[in-house]
Amino acid sequence: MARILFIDDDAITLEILGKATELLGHQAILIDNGKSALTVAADQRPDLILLDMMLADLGGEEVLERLRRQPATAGIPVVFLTASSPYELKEKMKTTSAEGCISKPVSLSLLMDTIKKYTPN
Amino acid sequence: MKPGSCLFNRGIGRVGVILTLVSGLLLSGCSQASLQSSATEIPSPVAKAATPTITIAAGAISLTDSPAPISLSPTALATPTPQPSATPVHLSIPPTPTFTKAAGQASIPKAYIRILTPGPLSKVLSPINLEGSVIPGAGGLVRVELVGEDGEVISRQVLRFLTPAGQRIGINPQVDFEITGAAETARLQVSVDDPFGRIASLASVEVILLSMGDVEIYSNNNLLEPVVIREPTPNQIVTGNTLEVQGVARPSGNQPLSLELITDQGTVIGTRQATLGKVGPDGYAPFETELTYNLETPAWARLLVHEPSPRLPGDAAISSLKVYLNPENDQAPPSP
Repeated sequence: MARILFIDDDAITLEILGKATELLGHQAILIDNGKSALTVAADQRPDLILLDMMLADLGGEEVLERLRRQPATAGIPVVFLTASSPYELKEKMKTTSAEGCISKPVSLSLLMDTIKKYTPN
Repeated sequence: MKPGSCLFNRGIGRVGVILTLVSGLLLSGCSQASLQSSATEIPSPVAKAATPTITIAAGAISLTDSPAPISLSPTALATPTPQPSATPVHLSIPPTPTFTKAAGQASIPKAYIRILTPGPLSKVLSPINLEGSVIPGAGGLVRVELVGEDGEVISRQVLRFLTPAGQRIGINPQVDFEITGAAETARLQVSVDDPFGRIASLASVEVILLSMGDVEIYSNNNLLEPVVIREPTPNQIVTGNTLEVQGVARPSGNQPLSLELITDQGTVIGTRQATLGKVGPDGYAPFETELTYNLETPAWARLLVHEPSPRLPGDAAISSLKVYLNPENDQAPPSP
């Protein structure tokens, strides 16, 4: 069972992703802002972080940068969640240190594949 | 919702169970049944005992739990909600799994109850369009339920089909629901009972209920029986006070299987848990146990194997068969 940290300021998206993750047999940690997420990530050390690019308090890029600077979270794979177009996604992936990027709304099959790809078991 | 049917919702507190009368169409294969006629409210929807049973108006009832026939007197059927039928009805409750051996290894039979769509992990809005096929249980009844995260039944329908004994039919109920939050995990389950009110078979899929948003429907690609009882065989005569049980199951979690022996009178005379062994390449794991039962006189009983749901209260699957228990080995079995 993997532990997945979801960071998104949209409560409905968080709830659906949380339910889906539980249904897939994993543990979901749901955080709705970037600042809290940095603390929770360091404390709980999830196996994977799914991070919304457009958070209300901090930008997704900034959260990612801070995660990379914290020793406790530097090695955790991060996948961006975004409503951007496929072209924008492709361009973004050229400049970011995130492991991946997936479009919202997230299909359960894509979520399952993403968890499989980036978590150890 | 279809005419003549209703449902109950937790949030509203309205309680009702649907008995949808399905008649006329004798369907073959997985063809979909058409729903006709009227519906009847059943008093108490949640308790197992509330499952509606029917009175057959005329003629003897012949119930078959193949290969050996089972004959029951009409008094075996309780009658809280009469649904008279003009003609005698012949029912068949075949043993849940039947399988053939191929080249040294037993194959997994197709599921007794098949939920084609929605498949596991589907995200659904109300109403859920369930498509499946089943051999109806006693009285031609098929129960469709939606069970929420706390184990509470969100929705229940009981469909009634007048079809020839042992006939597989297609089902396509619309399952309405209401949830308070944005999303909730739920188990959509279909089950049939035997003439004595015991669950004969249950199949389910776990889905995510949405109050809004995008639907994501998957097909169920695995239509094989989730729990297969290899030993005993249906209608086997068992002597002594111990029943040896063997089989295979498709694991849905880490919890052990629960076994029950229930007499025709509803008495649980034995229970046991069985741990699943190593999962094979076919995705099935073996189980084997001895079930000791308390019985002084010979009797028919149903062996049920429950596979617990890994995340939600209740069972993900149930398979069963009938056996004749003869502790003293002193009598030939009566007709089941």
